[in-house]
Amino acid sequence: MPAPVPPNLEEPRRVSNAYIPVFMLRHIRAWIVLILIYVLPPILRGEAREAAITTESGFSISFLSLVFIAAGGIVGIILLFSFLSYRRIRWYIAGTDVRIQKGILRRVDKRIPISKIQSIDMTESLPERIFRVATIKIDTPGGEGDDGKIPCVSKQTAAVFRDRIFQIKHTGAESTGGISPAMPAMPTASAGFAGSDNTIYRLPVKNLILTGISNAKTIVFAFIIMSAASQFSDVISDLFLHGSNVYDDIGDYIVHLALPVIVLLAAAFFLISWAISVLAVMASNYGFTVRNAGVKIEVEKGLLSHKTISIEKNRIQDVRIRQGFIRRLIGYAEICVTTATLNMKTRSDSRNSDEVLGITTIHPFIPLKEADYFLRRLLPEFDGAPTDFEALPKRADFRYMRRYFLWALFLVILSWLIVSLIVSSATGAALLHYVTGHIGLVLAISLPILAFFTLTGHRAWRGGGLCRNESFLSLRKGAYGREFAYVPRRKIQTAAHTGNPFQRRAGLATLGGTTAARAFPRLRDVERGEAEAYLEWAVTKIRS
Amino acid sequence: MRTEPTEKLNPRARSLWRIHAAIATAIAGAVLIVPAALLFRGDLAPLWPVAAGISVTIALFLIFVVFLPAIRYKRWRYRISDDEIAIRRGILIVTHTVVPMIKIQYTDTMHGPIMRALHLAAVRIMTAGGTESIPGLPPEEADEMRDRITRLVKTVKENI
Repeated sequence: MPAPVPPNLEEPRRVSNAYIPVFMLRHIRAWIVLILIYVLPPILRGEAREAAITTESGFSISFLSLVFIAAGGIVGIILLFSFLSYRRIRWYIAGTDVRIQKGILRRVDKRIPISKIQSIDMTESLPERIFRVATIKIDTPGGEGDDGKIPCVSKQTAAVFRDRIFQIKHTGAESTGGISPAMPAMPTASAGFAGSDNTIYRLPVKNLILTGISNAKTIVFAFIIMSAASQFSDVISDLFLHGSNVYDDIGDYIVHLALPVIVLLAAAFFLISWAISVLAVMASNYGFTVRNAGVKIEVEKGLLSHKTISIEKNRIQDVRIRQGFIRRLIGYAEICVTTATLNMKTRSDSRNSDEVLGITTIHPFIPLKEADYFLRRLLPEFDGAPTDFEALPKRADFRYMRRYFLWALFLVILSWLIVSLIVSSATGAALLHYVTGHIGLVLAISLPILAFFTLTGHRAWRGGGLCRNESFLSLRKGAYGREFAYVPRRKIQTAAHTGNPFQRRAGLATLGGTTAARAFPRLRDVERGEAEAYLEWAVTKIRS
Repeated sequence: MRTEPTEKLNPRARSLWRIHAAIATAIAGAVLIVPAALLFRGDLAPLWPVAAGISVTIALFLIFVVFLPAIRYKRWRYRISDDEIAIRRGILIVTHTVVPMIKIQYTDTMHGPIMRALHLAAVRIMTAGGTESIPGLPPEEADEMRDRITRLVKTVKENI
């Protein structure tokens, strides 16, 4: 790569002209999904060729040409909008501010004081990766949201921009003699993008595969596949079942199949869902790299859409170590940090629930016994969180089991009601008759479910635990998996315990509280006295 | 055991909650009764949906307007000490919350039209983790409390 002339960031700049295709690709993608769902089935069914709209005056237009005209119109409008919004975007460093101007109708002229900037992240969506550009995301304590984003900047310019910002921020802080304690650790500015030597972990391919296998969200993908399939049910019925209603036919079909075949079909379906979800997890964690950049942690990951996330260490509110069931079996865990994100706007564009809560994974797959060492190296301020968890009181065991049992009972009764409504006619007497007539079957299916949930309750009780020392609250939760949360006392904003009438009578309480990243995990049924002591602990001043 | 908070809200807080609940109940009642009444055509459609709507509305009124505000008022306690604000509230599920003085970012007083009519105000206490509020205080008392909290916060922050 030839040494480029450093870009002049002090004058209003446009973004890369790749903005236009990137914008179009991003918006057309949504339309493609719509077209697939609503237009493809009639075309496949062969109805589309004959279908036509005829007006009274005799003008006739076929369905297909209508689709093409509409598609052309949509593409035209998107092109126009992408061009207009491309023309409106200007960004530059205006003295001590970063200035961003954009918007077609709702015009934004944003000035972000450089001294307030907390992080500059770089994300590349798939279209952006194709054109080798990135979105710069500027964040401040107040949260900047979409207005703080500069889309489609070439990667070199983005790196230069970031270096410059931290350079200005650094010198600015020195001259006012401000936040100096953190400053010696200030990274050489190019640390993030250049992939320099402060990398402390890079996920190897073997572990990437294991991450995928042990973190797969099969159920979610099973639902996605099912809902997609339901959109195409009439096509499937046309192709394979010659036009009759697919649900009736499948119903008939299944009734005549032997049980092993049904089980095999279900297993195959879940296997496919599972495989897809494994691939999805692998793609999003591909090339997972953690860097220790002094006051910041930088995480880089992603195959299709590539993300660089930087987390300011003093914004971290709590640390969580999580193990799913499979990971617990093999002794591995995931380490996450929760960061303060005040503005809900910054969360609106992310679909991932962890992102919504401000949770970022800083290590996707680590042996549990190495987690402490890793944390100590990356986040020394979290060293010293106690792990001598105290179990929940014995009388809480019954309450946990009862809670899970009652939930399961509710669900079981509800599902039997639905089943008997479907099978028998909808009168109350018939329902009762159905259930009493099949009492053996009903019990054979319900009892194991209830037993399983009760056992889960018992395990959740065993999994619960807490401990405190001078500066940390440590919580442990989970029935089959485990989640450990370490909350520093100085990050706790409010502390609370709650109790319903039964808990109050048993002398128990649910322990909770908030940090700047909102609520941390609540732990049910701790001793009331312990909960009171926790409140006292939370408000006592830390002597330094 | 920590000592329980002792200060009570102004008794007019009950009226405030009652008015809020009455408005909500009126809307719920309208949603329940009006469609049923519109469908009622002498002997063509039965009258029982209207009757059911009215009785549900009355039940809601009794629960949410008559009883719950009284219980909530009885339970609501707070205490402002040198280094914390403690709040106890809740009807079935009782919540004890403490806010360390040092975590308070700012406080303000707030009053809506209904609160103004009742000569009441609320003190809101903002932390980075969210907002706590003490509703149902006479405006002068609320202003005084807000200033007192501000002073306490300042003292605590200076001592660190």
